[in-house]
Amino acid sequence: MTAPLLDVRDASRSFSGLLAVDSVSFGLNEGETVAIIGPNGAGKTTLFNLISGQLAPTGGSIHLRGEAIDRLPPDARARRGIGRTFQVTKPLTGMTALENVMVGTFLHHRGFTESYASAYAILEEVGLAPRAQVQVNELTLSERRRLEVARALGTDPALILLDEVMAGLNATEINAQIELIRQIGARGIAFLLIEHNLEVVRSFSRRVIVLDHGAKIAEGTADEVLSDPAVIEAYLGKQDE
Amino acid sequence: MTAVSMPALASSRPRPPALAASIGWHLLFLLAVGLPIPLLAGDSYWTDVVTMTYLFAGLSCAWNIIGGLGGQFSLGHGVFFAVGAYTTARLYLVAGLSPWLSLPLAAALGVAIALLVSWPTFRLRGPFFAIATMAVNEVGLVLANFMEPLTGGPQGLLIPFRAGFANMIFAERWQSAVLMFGYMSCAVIATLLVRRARLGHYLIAVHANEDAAEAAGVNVLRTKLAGMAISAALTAVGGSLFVMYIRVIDPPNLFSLPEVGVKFALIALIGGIGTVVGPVLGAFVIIPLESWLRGALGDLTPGGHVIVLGIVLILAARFFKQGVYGKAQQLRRSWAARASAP
Amino acid sequence: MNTFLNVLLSGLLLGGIYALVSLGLNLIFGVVRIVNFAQGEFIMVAMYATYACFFFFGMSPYVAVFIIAPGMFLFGIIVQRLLLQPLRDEPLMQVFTTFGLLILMQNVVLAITRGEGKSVAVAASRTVIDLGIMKANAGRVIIFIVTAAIAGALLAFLRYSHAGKVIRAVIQDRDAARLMGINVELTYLLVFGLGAALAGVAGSLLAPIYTLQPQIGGNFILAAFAVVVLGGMGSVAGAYIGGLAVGIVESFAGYYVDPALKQAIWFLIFIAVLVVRPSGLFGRKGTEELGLRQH
Repeated sequence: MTAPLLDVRDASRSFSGLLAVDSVSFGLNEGETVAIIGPNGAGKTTLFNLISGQLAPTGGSIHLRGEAIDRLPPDARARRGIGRTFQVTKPLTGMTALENVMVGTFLHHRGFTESYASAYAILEEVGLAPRAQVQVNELTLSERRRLEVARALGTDPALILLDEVMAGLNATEINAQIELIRQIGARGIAFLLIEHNLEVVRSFSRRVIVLDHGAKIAEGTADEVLSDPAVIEAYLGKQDE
Repeated sequence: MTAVSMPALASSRPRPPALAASIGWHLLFLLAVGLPIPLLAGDSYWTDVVTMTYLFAGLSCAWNIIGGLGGQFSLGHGVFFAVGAYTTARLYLVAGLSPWLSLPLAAALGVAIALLVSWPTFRLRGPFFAIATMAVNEVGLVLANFMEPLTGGPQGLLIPFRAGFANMIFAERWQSAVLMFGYMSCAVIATLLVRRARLGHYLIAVHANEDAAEAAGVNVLRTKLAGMAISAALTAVGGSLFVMYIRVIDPPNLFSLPEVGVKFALIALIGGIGTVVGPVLGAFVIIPLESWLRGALGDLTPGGHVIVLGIVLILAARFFKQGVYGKAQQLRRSWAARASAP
Repeated sequence: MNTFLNVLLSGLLLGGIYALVSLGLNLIFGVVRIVNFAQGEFIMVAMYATYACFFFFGMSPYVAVFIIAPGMFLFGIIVQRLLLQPLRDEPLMQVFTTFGLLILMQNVVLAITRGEGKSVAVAASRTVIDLGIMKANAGRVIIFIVTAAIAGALLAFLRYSHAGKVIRAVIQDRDAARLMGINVELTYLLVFGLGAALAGVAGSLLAPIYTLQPQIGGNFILAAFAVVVLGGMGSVAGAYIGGLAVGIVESFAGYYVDPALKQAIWFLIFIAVLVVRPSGLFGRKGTEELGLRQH
């Protein structure tokens, strides 16, 4: 039984008394894709922030390949293999698409030439190569989302946190995005996704975790979880009165 | 960990721009910028203007590394400038040390002070950082006035004229111009090298979005400190060259925000903040303009030229934030678009 | 002991000045989220305007304030509307703009007055009040009292009036405020105007006790920054108490250390607070937005 890649143990985060994440525990294995779903305000993005390092847990711990990372800053976690995209894209303005990815590839490639080559290869992989020299503020939303994934890929991660990476995309773009992620997944990268789109969730996560009010209320396959009465209640509210 | 991809496509992939070519283009640019030296050698007034233009171009390039690329708006660079000036002047006056030899020391002191001051102030972002650096500048002024044995206090320091290469004091004005041109060229090439390297990309990333940069593995504090250190070192060297050219310094002049601290930023803004050659272009606009204004308005209205500078600053921030370089790029792109249109 | 009390009282009176000078800046920081580098110059201009009223019309500064404050209010609205509102999302350009305003205003006044020092010599400038422990200049005592009154009035305004609630909403979360139908741009305009008006009041009250020089704004702006950082953005109580604190520290430092080093003392306070408690004494959520990290 191999140790999980990511091991979240009783992670909690409170903000002056308000418990945003409440003792959440789960594991994620190498190459696995797990989706995190739940109603708005359930604490999903906060949980992501705890894993990628924008926030430190106020309780519990987080382990990556057995090493406790919960006191490390985001850049140290990136170095250890955690990549991340943001719900509202954060393109690095003032640079081209290629240079954006290079910020990622510079992590493991010190020199300009290797960083450039590695970044260009990634752009090809995500289908943005024709837009390599375009300034990021001229990219469409779909392109910016792909760029975020590309930049995360640049850091050569073992795990990528995808925060609502389909939001704002139309049906065609969503399909393209799903394809892209499947393609990257074939490399052996693990994904943790926050998704509202249940089709997406069903199409490629083996396991789904449901959060409500910061706590984990269900875990299982998509079908198991979506027929769980507790989950239904969380989304629709109590059916009485 | 994971395999990098697709050798089949490698042949169609464009080759990364070569460093040598980049340096080559910039050297050509510098050559063009250096033309005034032989042309104006006879005229004392204009040679002085050109000399100061080169110096401030270099100083602004230095500021631009942390202020433009890194987006950390420092109002405290006057401190590094002063450190360089006082170090070189003091060592020359007291120990007869050739300014050429004190340049590395000035740079090192600049770096030391930059790191000391930046460690607390880099915890702040944006405008708060600007205020903190402004406070640093004011403290520098106070200390310079206070530490008389070191700085000559409020009266400042005076370096007697004794021409000689080792003294870095030149009999012919055009020789000073060449020295400043050399300084500016070093600053430009330094900026180019930083821009191209990992540090440059990290600085721009930090400027654009610290959270996204961190998530991509950038150590934000270390990046800012590295940028600041290089910037401070170059600025201090500029201060050293300045004192040997002008040979008289005092605290109000070294720490004056409109004359020094803010001017570095203004020049970068006008020329193209965050670009490699922007500061040079900006210096060629501001310094001659200022000289001319000082001459035209100086007697009529004290501070008249600063009024114009203030207006320029306000208008530029509103209407011209891309600077000369950015405007030129914009024009080039619209011409290209028009040329390819049916 | 007597000396100690003396220094303390001096510090309090000085603190009253700093509190007065910082109220406007604090409000602008807290609400509009702009660092108004020109705030010191607003005060300086108001001082000179007070002088003009005194010199040309024989008006006492304590009367002129009722013309100058509204005048500055209008000036503030114009600056915000024309210069700063268009740069809403560009903090770097805002810094350039207010800095440009700083050097512009300072040098316009320099050009007009040709650098001659001016003074507004009214009764309050010379009168000395016996406070028992020490004798204090009447002008300073007036400032201390008026500042306390203004701070109190502002607190009441923010807490109880409708406009005050709107302003507090914008301080807490301007996006949420906008979603609730609050006209944030209008709020910015009025608050910037109010901040400028407060600078106007400060200028009028300070005119009797300082010799007017165009560079005098610099004295106030750094102290004001230290106060705002110490007291927390957007907190009136914080600005008031922070002002008193800075005044007291400076008074003690000036007496026991060296008066020439007072700016260094401000800076050290400033940095110490930032390192130890980034959100100031009366910390506000807004400080995080403006970039004081809290991890």
